[in-house]
Amino acid sequence: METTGNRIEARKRTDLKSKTGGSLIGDLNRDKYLYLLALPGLLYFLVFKYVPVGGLVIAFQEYSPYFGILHSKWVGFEHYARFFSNNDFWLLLRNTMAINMLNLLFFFPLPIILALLLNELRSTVYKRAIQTIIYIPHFFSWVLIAGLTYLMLSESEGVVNKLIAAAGGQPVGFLTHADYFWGLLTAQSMWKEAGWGTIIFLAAIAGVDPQLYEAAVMDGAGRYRKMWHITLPAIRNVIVILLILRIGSVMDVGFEQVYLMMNGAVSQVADVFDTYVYRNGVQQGQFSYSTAIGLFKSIVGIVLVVAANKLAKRFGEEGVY
Amino acid sequence: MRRRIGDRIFDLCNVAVLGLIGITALFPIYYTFILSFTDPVEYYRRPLILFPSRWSLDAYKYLMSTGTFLDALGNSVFLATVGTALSLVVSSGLAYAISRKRLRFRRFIMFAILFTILFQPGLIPSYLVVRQLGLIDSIWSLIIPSLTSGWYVLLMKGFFDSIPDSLEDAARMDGANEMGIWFRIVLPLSLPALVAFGLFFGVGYWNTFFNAVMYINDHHKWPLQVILQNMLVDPTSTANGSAADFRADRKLPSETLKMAAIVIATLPIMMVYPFLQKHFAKGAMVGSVKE
Amino acid sequence: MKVKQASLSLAVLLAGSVALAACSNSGKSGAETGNSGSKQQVTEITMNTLSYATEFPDENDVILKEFEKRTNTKLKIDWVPVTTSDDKFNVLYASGNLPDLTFVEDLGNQQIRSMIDQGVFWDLTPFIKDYKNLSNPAIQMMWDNSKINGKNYSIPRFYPTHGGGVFPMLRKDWLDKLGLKPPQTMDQFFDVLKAFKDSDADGNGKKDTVPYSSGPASMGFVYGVYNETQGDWKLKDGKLVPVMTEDASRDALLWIKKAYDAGLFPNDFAILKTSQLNDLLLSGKAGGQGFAMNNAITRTIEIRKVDPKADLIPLTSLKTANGAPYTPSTPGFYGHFLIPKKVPEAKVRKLLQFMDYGYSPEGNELANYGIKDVHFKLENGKRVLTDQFKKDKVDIGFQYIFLKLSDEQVLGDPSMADAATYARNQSILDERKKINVPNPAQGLVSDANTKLMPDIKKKVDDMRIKVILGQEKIEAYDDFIKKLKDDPNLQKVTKEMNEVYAQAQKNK
Repeated sequence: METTGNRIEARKRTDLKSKTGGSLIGDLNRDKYLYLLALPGLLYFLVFKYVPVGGLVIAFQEYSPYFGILHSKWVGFEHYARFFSNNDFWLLLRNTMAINMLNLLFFFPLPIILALLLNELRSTVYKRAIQTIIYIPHFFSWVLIAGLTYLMLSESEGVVNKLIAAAGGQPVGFLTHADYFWGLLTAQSMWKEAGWGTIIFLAAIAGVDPQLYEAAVMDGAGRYRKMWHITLPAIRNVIVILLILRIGSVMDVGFEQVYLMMNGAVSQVADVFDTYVYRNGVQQGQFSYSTAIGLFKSIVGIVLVVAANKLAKRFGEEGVY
Repeated sequence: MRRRIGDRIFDLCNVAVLGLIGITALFPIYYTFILSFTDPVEYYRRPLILFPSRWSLDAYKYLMSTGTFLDALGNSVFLATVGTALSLVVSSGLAYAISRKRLRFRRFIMFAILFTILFQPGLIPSYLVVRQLGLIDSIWSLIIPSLTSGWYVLLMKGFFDSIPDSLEDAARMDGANEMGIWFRIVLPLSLPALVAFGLFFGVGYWNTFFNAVMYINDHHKWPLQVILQNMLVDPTSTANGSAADFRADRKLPSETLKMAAIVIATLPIMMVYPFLQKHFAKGAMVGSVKE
Repeated sequence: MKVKQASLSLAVLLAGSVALAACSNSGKSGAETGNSGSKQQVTEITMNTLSYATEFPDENDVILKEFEKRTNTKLKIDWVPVTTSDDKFNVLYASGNLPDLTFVEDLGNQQIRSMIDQGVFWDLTPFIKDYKNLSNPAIQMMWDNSKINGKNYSIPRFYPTHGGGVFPMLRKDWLDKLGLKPPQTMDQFFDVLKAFKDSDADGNGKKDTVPYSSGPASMGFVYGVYNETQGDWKLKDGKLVPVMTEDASRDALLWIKKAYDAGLFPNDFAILKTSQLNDLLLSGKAGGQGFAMNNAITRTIEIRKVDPKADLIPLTSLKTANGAPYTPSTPGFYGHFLIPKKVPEAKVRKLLQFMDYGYSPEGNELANYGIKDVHFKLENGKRVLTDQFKKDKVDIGFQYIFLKLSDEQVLGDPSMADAATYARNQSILDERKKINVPNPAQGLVSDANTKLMPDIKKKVDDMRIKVILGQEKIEAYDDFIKKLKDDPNLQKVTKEMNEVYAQAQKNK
């Protein structure tokens, strides 16, 4: 390490290879290998994301496959007029936002906390066992989870209600009352994805130099200070990136989860943009209308991401771009 | 060094809390597993079974009876291995490049990638691209169109951010070429991240379902998930009644059958994790620097 | 053209894919129609169909080979599994990647309807009479009911008019035990279910039976019985009116509520999924469920694993106290095959010839039972399937193209039930055939209906459930319906539907 350090210093003085600011051609030539590394990925995004994304213009058309995008009738903002004038627009917005806010507040921090706690476990065997177990629910489909939820919480068969009844209480309609619905969704997401979410943070924690911890111990730092000053900063970059991306998807709600848990008695709080699109666009084969709503969600998303990124940069973070 | 009392209490609580969380996850797993081996009749008698009195392998036998089961298993393994390897190469290359601050157009590229996360092209344009490339009915249609994603590239870049340029410079002085730097220094240094992303990609490929139904008509090329889903279709409860008449050897999808399908579909990929865990051990990164 | 197709250009994507496919085809049609030159030449046919099978035939399938031999064709068939088939078909249509015989589940599909209007598919009306099996008077119904603007654009996939559709079937063994007869009116139906509830019908010593295993989604028949009509629209003084705002629907709702309050449905009525409802029936705890008729046999077999005496009997019909009997019926087909215009006329005839064979007695037999003396034997005039039938997996393929032309299609496989039960179900089916409940809006498509109806329906459904669960009073429902009648969206849909209806009547 020692000698490497000296060499770096020497290099820095003689050669500005890793700095920007040369001529454009010079920079491109210097970094040609970097561009070569990036090329397959860039090509991928160009071909599979940018070429087809042109199809989004059908949001402003009455798209017909026969005429294609070039010859379909242009309708301007007609789909948006229909969408925004829909009586339920504000209801859909409220439900979508509420479900996402709860997720952001309760679900998002959970994997971070879990990763930190796992990191503190002394027994490797126990740690690995817990890690493995809590990551498994990720593999369960929402259908199965809806089934398990029913098994636990239904009014007639649910284990919880049987316990309540045994304790002399009245059974509670957890699944048919609007009050419980949002909390239920959040709890399901937490249970399903929290363990899986720890993987990325554990990987980040694994990158921390143990010497840092040793040095901290020398300085008399306790567990919490190590956590606060070494572990957390090491995963901060990842947390910020995830958070910004998460904010961008604030208009999306896991369709399948909501769709499976929705029923007539709770639809007042359960109907979100995605279920609306499914009912009115997808099921009816109305590609233009679904696309228009999708585009609206994307635009809201990008505005939020740009704002969040700006904010992050102001706090001195790397951000996502 | 002797541990303080507070530390011990923390340890104890930590063990207990994580144990509790573990148990909430464990019960459904156990339930699924047990149910998949239960005789369906017993399930009907009392749905909440903690330990079956009659074990049965019928569900597994039935699910594996399809002529194309082994093909499907092979396809899924192919996707999860070849696909993951390719995805890692493509994603890490791009992610590393954009993590170097000296790169021209860096912010533009990053924003362009971010854009693809938020603006998803619809199903039909994507299908047309795949068709134009002649990938329909090719197993590559399940790999190439899902090689990477903006999420993963940007997250991966977050990991590469912590690798200093100075390290590269040092290697360059030692005579390594640029590709060599990436392959011999950057990648080994990022092993925990690569393992994590490898897992993400691997699971993604293993769970390939929708694209397979869309892009593949030849049922010999379908992955496991599609085959299993088909076995769980109830041929007789469609809105109109049914277009199907089936004979006695066709099973109605029972709960036990579904659970067995879940076990078959998830067990192989779940087993991978414990083998990867050692790479998440502390200091994996520094260890390789010293080499 | 060649250059364009070889390279991935944005233009290709943007251009009308169907139009493009058509144009590229017309360019080389001279060379392609060569196969119509000599009669001996094998016709290559590409087609797809919706399949409920668990696995699918490949190119060496015995039945496929036999079909190719008998019809002098080379078949390339895509069997589309029912999982996510909606998306798959929508993408196929929209991408213009249409095979010679393109499967369409529902001609009401907006996408398909506009493609028909734009002339993407052949009008088959002038051809049909030339094919003796397709023009067989016995299946005339399916041609009549699948007309669009007075023309036949599709070869319907035949499905008998009676025997399909969701309608109650009950545990005959329970009825017998309690000395009850299958109900014929809604009041009797209520009483029977009540009796199931109050007695220990499953004999486990507890009064824990679920009389009727159903969720809100399969209660449509109750609204049908009260309105004496099928579908969402009812004919009143020559005009279509939406069923949902009718007083009869209020009565139907009250019947359901009364039954729910009496505990005749599962407690978790509002949230149970179809698979959970099915499990309830199969567990032997439920007295009945709504299904198409063939389920009577297949489900009975399953229930017998738990309760060996179980026997499901489909009801013939139900009516209100002073109404006409109601039983579900279907238009005589389930799904269609359409031929895109890019196919030259000579080949259209070949395709129809192939389809005609499937509608012939031999062809239909081959599709459903295989080859005589190989896959089945005739014993006393009855077909008995051989082991070879299983070995060659005859039942995974062509039964999804050519459904059985006999009642067996809706009654199920006779070998799975004893003769007496099968005969009983047959006689119930024969009784059902005498009842034809009108479905005035069948096949009508209106833009406003497609766009506005899903949300209106959802609101009505939500309100109904709240009333049933007791979260809302019936007065709230009345207010809701009163407001709904004045709803401009519903009025718009009603107006358009009536225009479409009038147009359709004129075309008849």
